[in-house]
Amino acid sequence: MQEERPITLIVADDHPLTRTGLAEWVRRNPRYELMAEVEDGTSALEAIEKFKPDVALLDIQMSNLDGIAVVRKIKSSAELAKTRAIMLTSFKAQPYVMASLMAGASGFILKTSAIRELENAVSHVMRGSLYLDSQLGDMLKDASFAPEALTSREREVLLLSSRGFSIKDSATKLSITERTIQAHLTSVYAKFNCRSKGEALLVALKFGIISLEELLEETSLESKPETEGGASA
Amino acid sequence: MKNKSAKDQCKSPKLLGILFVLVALPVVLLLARSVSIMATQRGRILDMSERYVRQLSLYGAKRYSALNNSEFLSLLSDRGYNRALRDADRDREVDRVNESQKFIPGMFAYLRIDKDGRAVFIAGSDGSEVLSELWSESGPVKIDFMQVNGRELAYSLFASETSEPGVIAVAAVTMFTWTGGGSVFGNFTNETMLAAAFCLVALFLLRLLLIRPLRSLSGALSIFRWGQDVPEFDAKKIGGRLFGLEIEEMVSLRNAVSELAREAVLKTELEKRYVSDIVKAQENERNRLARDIHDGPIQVVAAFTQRVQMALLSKDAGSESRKHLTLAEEAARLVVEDLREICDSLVPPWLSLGLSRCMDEAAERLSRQHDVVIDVDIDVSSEAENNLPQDVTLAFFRIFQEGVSNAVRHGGADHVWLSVSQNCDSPSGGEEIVLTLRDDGAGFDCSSLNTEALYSSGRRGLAGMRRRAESLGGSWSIQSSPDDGTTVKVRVSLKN
Repeated sequence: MQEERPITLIVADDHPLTRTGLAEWVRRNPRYELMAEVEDGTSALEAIEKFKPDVALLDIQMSNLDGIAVVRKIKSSAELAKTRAIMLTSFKAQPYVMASLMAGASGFILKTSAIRELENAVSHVMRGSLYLDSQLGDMLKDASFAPEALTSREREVLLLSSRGFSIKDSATKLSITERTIQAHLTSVYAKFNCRSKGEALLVALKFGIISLEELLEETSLESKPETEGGASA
Repeated sequence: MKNKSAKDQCKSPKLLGILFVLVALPVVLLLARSVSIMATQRGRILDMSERYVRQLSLYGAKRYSALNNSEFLSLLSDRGYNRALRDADRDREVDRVNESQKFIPGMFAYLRIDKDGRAVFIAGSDGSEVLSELWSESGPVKIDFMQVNGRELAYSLFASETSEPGVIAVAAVTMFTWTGGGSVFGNFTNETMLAAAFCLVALFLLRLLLIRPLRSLSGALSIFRWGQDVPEFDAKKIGGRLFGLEIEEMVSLRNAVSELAREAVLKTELEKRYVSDIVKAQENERNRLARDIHDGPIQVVAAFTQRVQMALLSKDAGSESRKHLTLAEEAARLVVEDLREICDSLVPPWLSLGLSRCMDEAAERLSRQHDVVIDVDIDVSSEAENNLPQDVTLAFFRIFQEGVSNAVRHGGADHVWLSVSQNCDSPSGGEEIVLTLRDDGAGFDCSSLNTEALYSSGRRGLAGMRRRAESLGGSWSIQSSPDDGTTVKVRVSLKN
């Protein structure tokens, strides 16, 4: 990796203190090349279009266009899709993680641990795998936690519900009763020792039980047509 | 309070009915009495008139043979019989004599019945020629009424034979003429009857214009929901209009009630708007505070942490300074955690990510906070979710929060189910979003639940939920019974 050309990055963060800190850290790293340092969503998108960087470090809360919207835009463009997005946020909240991953982000790090996590995150996403901040560890239990294996049905139910299918729509799609869907989810939560769908999905992603591609690919292909059909029926 | 007013409304029409009967009864009695008096009086007068004409005709017949014809006749036509009778009348009732001078107070005539059976007038009082018409070829005509001077009157009539064959003495009198003072009494009963009839009509009108509309107004009021219904207390609905005429007091009463009802609606609306304004102001303030904390202190501490991390990761930091830096980083991390916690409790920052993510996250946090299992099922199309105003998401989040807290605190629930679904054909016609929050807690008897009373006694949970739902223009309902958990339902219609 060292012999190859440096990894190109842009940093987008609307707060000057954290942005300059992060930019400085990137510049200091000889394997990285900082292409741009911007403070809002639209300039981030412009910079990505201009430099087509390998990695975009995007703050989720930005003016004009938020980080998640930027990811959605670059992932929907064939030209820009190669840029991997690592989301930055000061909120340790699952919905942001979920929304980022669903939008197509490859990594998620907290601003408070960005300096420590950056190198690890960049190398992970450059390898094509998903990176989640180690501070999210308490959301994913401790390091020794190993989830029990899921049955294929449980995995399927979790996947569908993570894609935003309601219990009713999942039941219709899998031709089983809503009660069974609920039983499967309860069983998944028990196996993962977690309490919600979002947490369960993070565990599944973290441990490779569900791959990000699988989650995104099928979501974008089907984009919940059954959900809409089911809800308006 | 409602029961009391309903009772009051029952009482007054009854009393009104009694008053109505109290007035109507004497009038009816008077009318009946008048009719009976008139009937008996008429019989008596008739009887007397008949006796009178009989006497008169017998007397005339007797005189005919006793008197010289011409003498008698001159007496009769001159100043005799008529005059005597007139004098008598004058004694009884002076005014009436003059007025009734045109038709004689009784008639007397001598008639000769010829061979053909026809009557020929010989002599008699003024206008008594008409009596000859009472005879036709076949004999006396049975007749009850006679035209005299253009007036048709009932006559009592008697004919007697005189000493001269073929000559009869006929006397006739109208009951009216004969009775004199008695006729005054007769008229009096007539007038009484007329007055009584007027009274009855007036009472009927009173009932139609006042009592009935009062009753229907009180009926309409007893089912009227103050503050919710817009009144329809017009004459069309309440009644009380006859040929475009109405009782003024009734109109002003109706208007006053309408005005009150309209004001109640206005007041309720104002109150709702007031509550929703307070809720909005509160949320705005929380939002601003959370944003300030996020954009200010959190970012600064994050920047601080980054610098500490850079120092830690640099090669030239000694072990002593590393120790201090690690502690500083830890302290900064705790500050950020605390600040985040404050922000999250002020306003869920992930609201913008949509209803399902927001509710999932809320469920996650609430289940951890209250140690309860929460099942979330959001069955809303992504289109509807994208169009859902953030106020609704926020209100649902708050209702969810409050509901779970209630279920655990008051019901000791172990399991809570949240479902949000879309209903395309709501009772109100359009599309609506329905939030249902069910728990397996102890439940309670909610049949006599008054959220407003709870609110004023400081237990604001349920009233708060309700007000939040209502401030969105939605409805809130609760269903619970002991040992059967509690279900809260909120319906909010989606405006497109």
